[in-house]
Amino acid sequence: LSSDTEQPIYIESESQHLDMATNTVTFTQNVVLTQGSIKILADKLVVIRPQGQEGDETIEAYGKPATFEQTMDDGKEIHGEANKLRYEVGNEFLKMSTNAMLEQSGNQVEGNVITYEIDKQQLVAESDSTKRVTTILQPSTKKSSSEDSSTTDAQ
Amino acid sequence: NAESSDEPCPDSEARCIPASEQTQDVNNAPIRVVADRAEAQTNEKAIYNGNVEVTQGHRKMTADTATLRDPERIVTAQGDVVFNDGQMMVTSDYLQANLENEDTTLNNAQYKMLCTPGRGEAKRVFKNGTTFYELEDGTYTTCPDEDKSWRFSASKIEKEDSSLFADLYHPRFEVMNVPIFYLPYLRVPVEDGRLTGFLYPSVSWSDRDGIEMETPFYWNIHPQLDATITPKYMSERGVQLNTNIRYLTPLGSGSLYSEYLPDDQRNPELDARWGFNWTHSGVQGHWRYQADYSKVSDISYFQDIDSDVGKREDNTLLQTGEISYRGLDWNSTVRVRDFQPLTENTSVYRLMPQVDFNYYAPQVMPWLDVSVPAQFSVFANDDPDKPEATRTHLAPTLTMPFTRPWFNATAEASMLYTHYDQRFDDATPDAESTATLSKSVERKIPTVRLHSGLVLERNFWAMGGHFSQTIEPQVQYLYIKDVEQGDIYNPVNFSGGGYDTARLQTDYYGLFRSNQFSSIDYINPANQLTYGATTRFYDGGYKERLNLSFGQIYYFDQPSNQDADTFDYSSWALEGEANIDDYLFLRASMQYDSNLSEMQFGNAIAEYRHQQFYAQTSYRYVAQEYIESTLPNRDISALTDDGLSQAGVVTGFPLWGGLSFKGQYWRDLTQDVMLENQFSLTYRSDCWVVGLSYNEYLLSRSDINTDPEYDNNVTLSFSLLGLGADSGFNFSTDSGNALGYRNPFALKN
Amino acid sequence: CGFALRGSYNLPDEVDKVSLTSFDPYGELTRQMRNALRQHKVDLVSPSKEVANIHLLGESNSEQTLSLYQNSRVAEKEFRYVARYRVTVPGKGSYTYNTTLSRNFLDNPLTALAKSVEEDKLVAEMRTEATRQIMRQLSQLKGDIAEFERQQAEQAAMKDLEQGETPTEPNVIIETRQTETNTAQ
Repeated sequence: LSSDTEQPIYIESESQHLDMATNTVTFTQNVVLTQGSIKILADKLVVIRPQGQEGDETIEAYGKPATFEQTMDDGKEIHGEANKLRYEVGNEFLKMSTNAMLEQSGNQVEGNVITYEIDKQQLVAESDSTKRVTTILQPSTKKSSSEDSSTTDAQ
Repeated sequence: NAESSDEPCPDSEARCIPASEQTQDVNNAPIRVVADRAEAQTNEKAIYNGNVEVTQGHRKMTADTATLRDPERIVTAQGDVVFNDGQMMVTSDYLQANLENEDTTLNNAQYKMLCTPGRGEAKRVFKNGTTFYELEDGTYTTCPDEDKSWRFSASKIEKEDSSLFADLYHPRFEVMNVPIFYLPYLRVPVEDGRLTGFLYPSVSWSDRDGIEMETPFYWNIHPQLDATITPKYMSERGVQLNTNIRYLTPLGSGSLYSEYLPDDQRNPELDARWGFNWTHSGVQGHWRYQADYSKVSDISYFQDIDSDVGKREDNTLLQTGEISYRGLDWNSTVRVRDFQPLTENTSVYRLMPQVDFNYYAPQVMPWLDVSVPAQFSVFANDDPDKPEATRTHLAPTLTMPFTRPWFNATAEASMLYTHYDQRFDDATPDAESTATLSKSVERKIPTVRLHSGLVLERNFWAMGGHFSQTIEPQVQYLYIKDVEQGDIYNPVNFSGGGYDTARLQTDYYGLFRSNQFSSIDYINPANQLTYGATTRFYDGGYKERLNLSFGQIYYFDQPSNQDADTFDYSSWALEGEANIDDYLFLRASMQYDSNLSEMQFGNAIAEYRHQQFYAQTSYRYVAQEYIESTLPNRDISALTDDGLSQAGVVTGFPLWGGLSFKGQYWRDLTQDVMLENQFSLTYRSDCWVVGLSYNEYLLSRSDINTDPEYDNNVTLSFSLLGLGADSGFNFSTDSGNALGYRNPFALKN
Repeated sequence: CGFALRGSYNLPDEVDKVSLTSFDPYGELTRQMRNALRQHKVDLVSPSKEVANIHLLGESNSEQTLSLYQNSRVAEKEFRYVARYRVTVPGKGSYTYNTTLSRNFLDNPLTALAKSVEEDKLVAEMRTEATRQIMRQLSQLKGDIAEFERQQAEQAAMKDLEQGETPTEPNVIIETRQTETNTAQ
C-alpha cells in the first residue's frame, strides 16, 4: 500500500547485532520484517540507516531465497524472491539479484537481476550468461469464464 | 534455440503438429516469454529484447524484440520474427498479434505450410485465430525451396481453415517466375480432401478428335455437394461439356455425370450427342438403396466418343434401381431393371418390377437350417415375337450342415415351385422342339444335393522353411427331377428364349453349382455325381502360397438338354494359383473335354513385381466349338472364325530420376493381328508431373476378314503435384483401349 | 506320406471367442460371415474390450474386359469381388486384410437381363466363397500376431538399452504458481 512507508518497521529474529559506527543493524536466523503490508523473510537481514535518518533506510536481505511480499492499493499482491534483496524504503525501490523472481496476480518474471520501482510499478529484469529472463503471463481474467468464478472464490 | 544470424535459417523443429496433438483451448494457455532483458510497467507495457521467445501452448514466436501492451494485450515483435503454430511457419520482419481475439498480422513474410506441401511469400499475412489465413500480394507453390518450376502469384490468397481449398484472386500462373496465364479467380485444393485425380489442363492429340484440351473447374458448393465442370475442346469435333456432381446425403452418396456435345462436326447429320450416368449407394440401418442408370443419345456413341459413361466395347447400358429392407435373418428387395441396347434391333427384357423376399432360419434345430427364398418378377419387352410374363418362384430349402475340422457334409433338399402367367402372340419354338407356350404354367421340381468333403493335412520342411499342405477331396451327388418345361419360354426350347435365363459358363466353380443357368426359366434336370479335389500349401506364417483344384461331373442320366451325342462325363475343370515369395504371382484355369479330347478354354496370367518394377503376361484361349455352345443358334462368324487366342503384356518400371515408363501390348493370335497397345513416359518432379502417352486400338469391323483399322491417340498431360491428393497423371483406359492391367490374385494380399 | 485328418481349423486361440461388427450390420456379407464363424465353432459374443473383434470394413465388386473378339467386341469379362475386414485382438494390435475373388464369363449381347442376373449370381457366389476364404485367412493371423509380439519384445529391449541417457531438458522452469485457477476445481 502506498501508506506502507509511513508505517513503523518491526523486525524479529533470533539474534541481532548493532554496529553504531556504520549505523547498521544485522539480524540473523529466521528474520521476519514487517512494515504495513510489506513482509520480508530472510536468513540474514541488514538495515542501514544513513545518518540515522528515519524513513529512508536501506534493507538488504539474504536467503535461499529471501522473500518479499506487499499488497498493492488495488488489492493485488506482489511476491518476490531472490538470493539477495535490496529494498530502499525511502524511494520504494526494490532490487533482487541472483535467481530473482517476481510474481503478481499469476504473472511471473524470473531473471538474474530484477529491479522494481514499487510506486511507479515499473520493473526491469536483466539476464546473465546462465539465466535468461522468463516471463509467464496468465491469459487475461475477463475472457475465460472459469477464471472469473475462481477469483471470486479466492477473496 | 534459434541463434539470430542474418539470414533467418528455418527453425529446426519446424514440424507439423497435427490438430490432434495441438494444445486444447490454446487461447487460454499461459504465455511464456524468455528474453535477455525485460522491462515491464504493470497494466501498461512490457518490453522484451534479446533473443525473445514467446510460447503459448503449441504456438511459438521468436524475434529480436517484442513489446506487450497490457490493457489491449497486443504483442508487436520486430527483427527476424519467426512464427510457428504447428500448421504454418512464417518468417517476417514485423508481427502484430492481439492476444484477445488472436488476430495476427505479419509483413514481408515468407511462409511454409507444415502439414501439407505449400510455401511462398506475401507482403502481408493476416491470420485470425485458427480459422482464416489471408495473404496480400502473395505467392503459392508446392515446390520445395529454391525450386522455381511453378508458382501462383495473386493479389490476394484466402484460405478458410476447415476448407480444403485456397481462393486466389487475380492469380498469375508463373513458371520460372515468368507469368504464363492470368485468371480473374481460381480455387486451388490445398489439402488431401475428397478431391483425387484432379487433373490440371491436359492437352492431347488423336487423329479422330484432333487437338484436345480439357480444363477442369472445381466448384465446392457445400461440404455435402461439389461439382466438377470440364469443358473439352476438340479441334475436329467441337466443344464438349462434361459435368460431374457428387452428393452426400443420409440416404447415401452418389454422382450425376453428364457429357454433352452440341454439334459433332465429324457426324453433322446427328443432332446433339450426350451421355448421362447416375450412381447411388447408401446404407441406412435396415434400409439399403442402390441405383445405376446410364443413357446415351445414340447407339454408336461409344464408338465415336471417349466417354466415362460406358466403354467402347459395351453391348448394353444398365439402368437399374433397388430399395431393400433387411432384418438379421431375412431381407426384402424391390428392384426395377432396364437396359439401353447398343446393337441394332435387339430388344431386351425389362424387370418391371421384381420383388425378392428371403427368409433364413439358421439352426431351427441344432442340425437343421431352413431358408425360404421367394421372388415375384414382371418381365416386359417391346418385341412382339417375345412373350411377356409374370413369374412367382418359391424355393423352401432344408439344409443339414455337419462340420468338423477334418470333414464337412451338407444334405440339402428343396422344392422349387414356379408359377408363370405368360402373354404372347406367336413365339416360335426351335425347329425340332415341339414346345408350345401356355398361358399359365405351374412347375414343381424337387431337388436333393448331398455334398461332403474331407480335409487331410501334413506338415513338412522344404526350402529351409516349415510348410503345411492340405488335400481336400470333395464329392457331391445332385438330383433334380426331369420335368416338362417346354411350355415355359426357356432358352433350351426357344431360340434366344428365357426371360432372365442364359446358360452359365462352366468352370471349376460351376461344377458344384446345382443350376447351370443364370435363373429359373429352365432348370436343368440332373442325376449326377461331381467329384474334385483341392490342394493348398501354407508357409510358416500360415499364409496360403499355392492352391490347385480340379473336378469333373459323372452323369448317371444323360442331361436331355445336351446336343445330339451324349456324354457320360463332363469336361475336366482345373483352377490354380500361386504366390511365390510375394514377388511372383501365377493364376491359371482350364477346361478339358475328355470326350472330344480337346480343350474348351484355358487361360493363364503371371505377374512379376519387384519394388517399382512390375510385368504381367497373360494368355487366353477359347475354342470355337465352345463359343458356339454358349451362343446357341447364333452365327458367330461375325465375332470370330477360329475361336479366341489372345496374348498380352503389361509392364511398368522407373527409368532414372523421376522418369518412368508404362507399356502394354495385346495381340490376337488366331488372325495374328494386333488388338491394342499403349505406351507412356511420365516424368515426376517434386511438385509437378508431365506425361506423354501413345495408344492404338482396333476399330470395330463388321467383316473380320477385312484388314484391321486402328485409331490412335497421343496425349500430353501436365499436372501440379501436392495440390489436393497426389493428382499425378495416372493411366486411364478411357483413352479408347479396353484391355489393361488386371489383378485377379486372391493370394496377393 | 504323412497325411492325417486335419486336427483343427488352425484358427489362433485369440479368435475362439469373437465379436462381429460390420459397415452394414444387416447386409448379406455380415449374415454369411456369421454363418461361417458358427460353422467353424467360433463363439459369437457382443463386442467388449476383452474379446477379439472382426470388423467388416466393406465390399466392392468391379468388372473388367479380358479379351476381345476379332471384331473388337467384348469376348470375356472378369467379375472381381473384394471384401475388406479388420481383426483387432485386445493387447495384440489390429490387422487389416482383404479377400479377392474373381470369375470370368463369356459375354453375350442378346440376353442383357440374363447377363445382369448372372453377374448378381456370381457376386452372391463369390461373397459366400469370400467368407470361407476369410476363415482360411484367419489362420494367417497366427503368424502376424507372432510377428507383432516379436517386434514388441524387440522395442522393449531397445527401450531398456536407452534407459541409460536421460533426455536432455535445458533447465527446469517452474511454469506458474497456478494459485488462483486451480483452487476453483
